[in-house]
Amino acid sequence: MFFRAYGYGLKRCAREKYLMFWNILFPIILGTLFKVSFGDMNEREFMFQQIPVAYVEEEQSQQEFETLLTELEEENQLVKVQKVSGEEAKKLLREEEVKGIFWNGSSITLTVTEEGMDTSILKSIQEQYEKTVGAFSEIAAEHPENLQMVAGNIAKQWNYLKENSITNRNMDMMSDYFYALIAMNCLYGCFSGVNCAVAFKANLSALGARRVVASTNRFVILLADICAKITAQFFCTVFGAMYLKYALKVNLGDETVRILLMILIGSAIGVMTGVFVGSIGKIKESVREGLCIGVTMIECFLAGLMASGMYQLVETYAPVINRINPASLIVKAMYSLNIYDTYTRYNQCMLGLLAITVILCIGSYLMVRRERYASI
Amino acid sequence: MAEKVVEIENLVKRYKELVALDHLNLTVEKGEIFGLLGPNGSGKTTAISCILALLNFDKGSVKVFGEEIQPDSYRIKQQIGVVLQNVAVFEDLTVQENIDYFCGLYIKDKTERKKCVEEAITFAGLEDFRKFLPKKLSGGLLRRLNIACGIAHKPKLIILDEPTVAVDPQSRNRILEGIQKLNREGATIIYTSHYMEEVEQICSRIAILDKGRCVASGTKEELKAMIKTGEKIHMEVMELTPEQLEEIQSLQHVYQLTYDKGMLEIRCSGGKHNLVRILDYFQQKEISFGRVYTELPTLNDVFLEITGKELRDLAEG
Amino acid sequence: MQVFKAFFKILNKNKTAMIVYMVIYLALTFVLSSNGQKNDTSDFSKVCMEIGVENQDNGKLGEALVAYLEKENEIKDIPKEREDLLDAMYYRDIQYVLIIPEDFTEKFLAGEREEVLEGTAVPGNNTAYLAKMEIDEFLQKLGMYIDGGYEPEQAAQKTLDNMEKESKVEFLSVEDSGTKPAAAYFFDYIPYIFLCIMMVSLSCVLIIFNEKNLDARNRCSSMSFFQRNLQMVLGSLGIMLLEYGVFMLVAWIMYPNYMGSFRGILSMGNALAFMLVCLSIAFLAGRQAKDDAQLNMAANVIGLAFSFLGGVFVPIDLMNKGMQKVAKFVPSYWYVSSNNSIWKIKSLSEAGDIYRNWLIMLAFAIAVFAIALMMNRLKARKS
Repeated sequence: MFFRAYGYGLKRCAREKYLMFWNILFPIILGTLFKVSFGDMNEREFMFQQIPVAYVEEEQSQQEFETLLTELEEENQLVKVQKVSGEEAKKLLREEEVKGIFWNGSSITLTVTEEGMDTSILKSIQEQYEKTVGAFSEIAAEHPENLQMVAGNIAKQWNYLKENSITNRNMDMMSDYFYALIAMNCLYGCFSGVNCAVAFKANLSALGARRVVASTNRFVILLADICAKITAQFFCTVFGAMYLKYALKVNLGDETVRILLMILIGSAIGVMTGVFVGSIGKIKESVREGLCIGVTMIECFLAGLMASGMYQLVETYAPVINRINPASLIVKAMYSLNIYDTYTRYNQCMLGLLAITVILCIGSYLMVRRERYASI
Repeated sequence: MAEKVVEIENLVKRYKELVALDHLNLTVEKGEIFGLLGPNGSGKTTAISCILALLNFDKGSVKVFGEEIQPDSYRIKQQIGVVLQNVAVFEDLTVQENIDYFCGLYIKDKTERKKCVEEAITFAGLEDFRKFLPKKLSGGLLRRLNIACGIAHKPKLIILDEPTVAVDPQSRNRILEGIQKLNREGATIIYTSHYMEEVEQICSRIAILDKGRCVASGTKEELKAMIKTGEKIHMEVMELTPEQLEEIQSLQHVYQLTYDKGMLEIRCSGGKHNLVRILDYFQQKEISFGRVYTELPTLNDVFLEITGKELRDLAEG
Repeated sequence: MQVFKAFFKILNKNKTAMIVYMVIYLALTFVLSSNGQKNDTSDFSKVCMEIGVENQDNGKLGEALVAYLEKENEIKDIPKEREDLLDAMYYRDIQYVLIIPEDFTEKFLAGEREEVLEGTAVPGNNTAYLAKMEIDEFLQKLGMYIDGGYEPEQAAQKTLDNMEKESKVEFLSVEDSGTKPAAAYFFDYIPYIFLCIMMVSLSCVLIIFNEKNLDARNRCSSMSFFQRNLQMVLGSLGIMLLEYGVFMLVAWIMYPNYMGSFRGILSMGNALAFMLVCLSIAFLAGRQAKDDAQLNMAANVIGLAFSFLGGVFVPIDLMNKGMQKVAKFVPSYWYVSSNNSIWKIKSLSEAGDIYRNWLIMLAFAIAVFAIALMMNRLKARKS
């Protein structure tokens, strides 16, 4: 009985073309977009974009600073220097053609318009220079004999730090976005979940009535339907994840089985969220869908789909949200799988996800268990 | 005495202020085709929903096959087939899949189910449309599919709630014949409709609901006997004077008279020799007349007379 | 004006849905904008990190390094158990782990400076990079002083003093100290919010008109194709103004000062121009869609894609050059571009580019409308 209803449920899912279409299109579009826009950006590029800067030479200018800038421009590709007059520099800055102006006079001054990442980098260039010069002049004054050696050693550019890793697995900075994308894809199951619940309630649809009057326990039917939706959502999401992994070459790690398991629970949560929302009293279907999308969006936002670093922010201010937000848990589960060589944290996330699923199941059950309706 | 399949006693159902069922009493006996008539909003669908344990009700009892029906009375539900007013099929499943799905909710055995599905398809004449999706079907076919889904598991009690709404005469005939066939095969049938001819044609017993109460019930003959009109006599007569009309009106058993464009319609209450008496009068007065024919009252007359002619509110139960 | 009237009657029936959408998206706006504010205030140079340090050094230099790091960061002990350490890093209690080996001072003085320390970063966390930079910087200066011939203690002290020095940064104009007003954050995320809310709310009504029988019935009427569509556009416009009004009202209540200034007016204009684009997109989608769920998903995909591409969530200059060019074909790009300059300009005379962006958005809106009408026409012919 169950399996037949399940089979038909699957068939119906497969034929809901539009739903499937958007479900599959979603990771493809957004994934491709992420990848193309930011994918080839590694840490270095992220930190050091060539920053346009104006350079004005004044009296008593320091030759070393100009050399430093040229070096930074040509070798490190950190800045893009325009050598101009003072007036012109100000004009460029106002028009936002440059991010700052270096005035090279008896001392180095930096002029900027706003605070920001670029400004900070410019500031650190200036500081670095001044500190090095400061140190130099101190040494020159007190131990002139060693100046040669000092200068020689600066050029060496040591790697003072031996980079250890808590894991031998690698991860690039964009991964969080892709994880959040997978989370969102899982949670998209909420739409079919709503359909499922609405088609089940006899007071909401004729189909529901017909199934309620049948001689099979209606919860068997409902369960079969839900399982079918979860299966469909699971395959959609797996497809999306495969697209990310094989077409876009996103590093999702090698823990395939565990990732699949997580996607399965994620899809279950997605569908159950929909079922839960669909079971709430008597409200319009459009409101139900609105609620679904709203809840899903906020969950994904908090998990960092739209702004990276959101997870940490939440962790600092309201860590409890990260423990109960399914999107965060999915992101975190993927993250832990790829970072750590033990499964403790992954298992914790999975337990959290399972708990949410169970709560949603119980909640929905409590709402639909009523068997007779006051009106149809 | 025949076995009672459905027994409704003193059923009361309120929707807030509106009383949908007001101490309704009904019994349906085994082997009947039981017609449930009533204007829109008279409580037919509500009554059916109560029989199916879909609705809770305020008072009274509903017994099906001798037992109080509960939402989990799966053993009883196994015996019931339902065709609801609104078409309830899956948009994304084909004709055959739909029937199989619903049949499968009742019958677990695979081979038996296969047989049932086949029979239901033949029954509804959907052989050529097995692989069609419901949205590709015409109105009549869709209704037939709706019915096939409800009866595929060979229930002993079949409830049909206006199964022929918006269906062409061919499809309707097929549906009605099918229902009679199911009845001959042993199923008890509860049938609601607005089409009096249908009910008159197939139902062995009829109940008329109005404002949530059963205002009349019995065989169609019994019902017809209940109303004033015994027969209607139509005559083609040229030129009748008002005095003559008055005289006809005063004849025994005549209670209503209309005369328009040479056609005289006389309604007589029950009684014998109405026609003879009227013809006697015409002969006596030497009024020439053309065609004469009489009509027995139809169910339509019964219905209108019992429930009144004013328009019903549109709130469907 | 039958269609127009019907539009609002249907809208009235769907008002709960509308209110739900409004509340959800307003909430989202506030969450997003508060996040934007926090992100910016935690400026890159002043980030305070939690650094786990284990100092096994026998000499003095390790201490100096710790003392230096302590100034800007929080120094924590490293948990003994590996699992605990993993946990700490997982929950970001510790963002960087630094181990100073016992022979650090020895090696450093001897001039062996390659990989004298061990550092572990939390993967995928960019702040760790900053920790590395700070350490590098300090050691470089320390190396200079050591090489310069100072005693270790002296060198350490000198380095600490040297690092103390702050260089002066001037801001071009004093009145614009460069802080973005809170209200500007509110407008930052409008493109995403407006697109979604327009799509979902318009769909409620348009889908009803799309229903096969109703559509056919409407087409049978004596009203011309153009008139019917015009009324629908007007109806949509009404919904748009309603929603726009609510958002602007909220903005006025939250930020009366900003909204009262000419910048507020520009921001409102900018939002209105973008809202028109949203309206046209929603109209196009709403007339084609078959059911709500589909439209909701489409709204999300389109909304997110446009917003990412237009630089709503991630600054456009972080994208690669090619994408930046593509972004110009997305209306949100123009919105963001105006939005970023509105709070910087000092008078309306500088707003030339902003007006140009409005015109571009308007052109987008008209183009999409034209496509929508064309598709409706084709649909009407086909069936």
